[in-house]
Amino acid sequence: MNAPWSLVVFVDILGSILTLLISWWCALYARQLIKNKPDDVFRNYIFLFTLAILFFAVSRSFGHLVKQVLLLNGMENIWSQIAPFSGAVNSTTFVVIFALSLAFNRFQKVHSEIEHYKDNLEVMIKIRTAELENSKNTLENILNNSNPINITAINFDLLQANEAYYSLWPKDRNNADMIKCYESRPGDHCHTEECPLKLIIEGSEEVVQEVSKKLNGEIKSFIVTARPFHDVDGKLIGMVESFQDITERKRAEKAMQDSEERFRLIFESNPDPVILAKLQDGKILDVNKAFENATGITRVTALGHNSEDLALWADQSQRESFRKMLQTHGEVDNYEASFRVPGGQNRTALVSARVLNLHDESCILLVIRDITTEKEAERVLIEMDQMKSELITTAAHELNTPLSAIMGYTELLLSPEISGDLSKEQKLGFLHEIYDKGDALSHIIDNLLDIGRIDCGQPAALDLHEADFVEVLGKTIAFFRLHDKDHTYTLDIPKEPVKSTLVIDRHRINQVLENLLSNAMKYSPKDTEIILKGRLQQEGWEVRIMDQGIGMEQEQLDHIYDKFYRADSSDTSIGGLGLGMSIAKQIIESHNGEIRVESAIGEGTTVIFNLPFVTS
Amino acid sequence: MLTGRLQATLFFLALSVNASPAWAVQAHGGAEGLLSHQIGHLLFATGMGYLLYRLRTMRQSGRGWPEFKTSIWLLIAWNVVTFTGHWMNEFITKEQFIKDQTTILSFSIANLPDAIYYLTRLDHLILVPSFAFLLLALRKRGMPQ
Repeated sequence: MNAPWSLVVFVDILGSILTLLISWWCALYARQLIKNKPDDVFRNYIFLFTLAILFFAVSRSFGHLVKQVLLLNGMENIWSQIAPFSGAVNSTTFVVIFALSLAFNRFQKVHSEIEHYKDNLEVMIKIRTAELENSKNTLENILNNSNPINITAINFDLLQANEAYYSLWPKDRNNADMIKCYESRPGDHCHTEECPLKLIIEGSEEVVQEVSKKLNGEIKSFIVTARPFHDVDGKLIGMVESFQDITERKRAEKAMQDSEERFRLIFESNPDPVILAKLQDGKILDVNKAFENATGITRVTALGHNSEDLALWADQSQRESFRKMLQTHGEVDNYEASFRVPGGQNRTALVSARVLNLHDESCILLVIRDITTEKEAERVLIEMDQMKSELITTAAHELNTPLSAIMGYTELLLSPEISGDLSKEQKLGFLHEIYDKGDALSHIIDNLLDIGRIDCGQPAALDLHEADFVEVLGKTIAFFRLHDKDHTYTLDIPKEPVKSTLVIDRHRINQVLENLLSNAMKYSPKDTEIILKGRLQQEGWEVRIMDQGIGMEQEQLDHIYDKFYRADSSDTSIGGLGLGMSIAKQIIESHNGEIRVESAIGEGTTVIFNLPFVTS
Repeated sequence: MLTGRLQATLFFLALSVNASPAWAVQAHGGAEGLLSHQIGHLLFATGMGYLLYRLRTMRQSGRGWPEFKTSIWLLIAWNVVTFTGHWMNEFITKEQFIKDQTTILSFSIANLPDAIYYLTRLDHLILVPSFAFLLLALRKRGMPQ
């Protein structure tokens, strides 16, 4: 059987051509394969392997084409010369392919190891990248802090700053060059020994400074903290500065200081004593000036002691009562209590207190208002009111007695039935009685007018003339001897002639003598002696009016010159308005004289007064 | 006793030594020598076999690998075919090629070896698909993963 050889030739030529074309195509893809991942060892292997295969394919296809061309053209001899070389090339390629095939495992292992390392490396890179990302975020967060932050190089270049920094110290948009820190934010410490960067370069680990700057028309205060900035090798390359805005804090501190100052001023200048003490043990924390003035206890002495230590409360039961009220109610208003003051005196005061919290400790704030004067005034007012009542009663009685007598005598004289039976002497006697009672009324009214003038600040008007004082004394005693038969009146004056001329208001001195002798008469038992004793002194006369009456206690003596004061107001049988001693004192003192009273219960009373020769 | 492997080796050596003078269709005689070329084919096929074994053990998967394996299988087949062809060539006589003046017109097939020889001359029918599969493998591998 003959098989067509042309089929063999056709397949050989076409196959060679197709092989060349596919090889070319394969080469392109192989190149693309390695180009995509040039560092992939395994791809490199595939590339080399493919090249070897393609080299074989190309050389073989080319050889076969040459062979067919030569054989078709009857050049068998030439082909027989070339064929060994073509075959040798193929054979060599086979060996190379074989070698590459054997190397597959090695390449594959290396590839696996590299992939493994690469995977590990990728994991490490991912971890490290994440760490770096975190660090970056952290740094960005730090830098994007609301507090201004900047990094300054050791040559004063401002390397980095956050938005908060630039919001305070804006960038110069026109100046693209690196700006110096002292240009960005010139300050008092720039170019001085206090420059924080200079201090950092000299070795400081931290520099903290307080700076104030006028920014946007407002004074702002910052605490600037500077710390060294190192590179990865630990070399100092600059400093990191953070600015803490303390403007509001400073304002608050200033406001607090002002407030404290105001309250200190209020506390200190309070006219009432103020005490700040601990609630628990009553130890005094502070007192004001008024407290020092009122108690005589200095602030230094008072601090750390309680009121018991300082013996402030006159009545300890009041102190205890006050303490209980405060503990129960937390506040006390106008608690009336007595306090000791220097000299052992007691003062009455109203105490108000509040419990308050000071520095997490319960404290008491006490305000003490001294009402001693008010209490005294109140007492005087009560006494005055009482005296007024007594005056009205007494005056009514004093005025009514002579007035009743006058009215009685007048009615007798005006009644035709009665008066017709009266003798002329009796009628005259009645008229004398009416006159005497009228005179008594006039005397009472004079005294009231005098005391009224004195109360209005008008001293008794004196009509001064030379007068024989012995004669004045004699006439006065004679008057009383005539009108008072119940007592014995003795005038005790020097026997020998003495200087008895005084410049006085005779009427007023008579008034004094009458008041004093009248008192002696009223308060002396019947049939006792009343002595009027006059003695010449170096500068004038001393007069003593001595009785043997009921006498007075010291308390009565203390009030003897008070207006409307009567030694025994309960005994209404003893008349008088209680003005005699007060008027006598005013008149004697108007004559530049002095008056005093000596008395003892049951032994009588002696009133002594002096009159100078000449009243100025 | 000679081992089977040694016997096979001696057989191939004998074939190579007894190679006939190169005919116009014999590509691998002369200075190259058929033996060296046949060894080359064996090495080629062995290398491909080893490669297949490794690909199998490494359990490669993914795009392009099946085509790559197919390509290798075809290359192994091609090596077997061409090896057989080269071998059979030694038993072909000049007279079996019917020629006109210069061109071979047909091939006389008298027995099975002749038929096998004729078929082995159509080895491109295996080689071209092999390269086609290699092309497909590279194309798929080269595409972005």
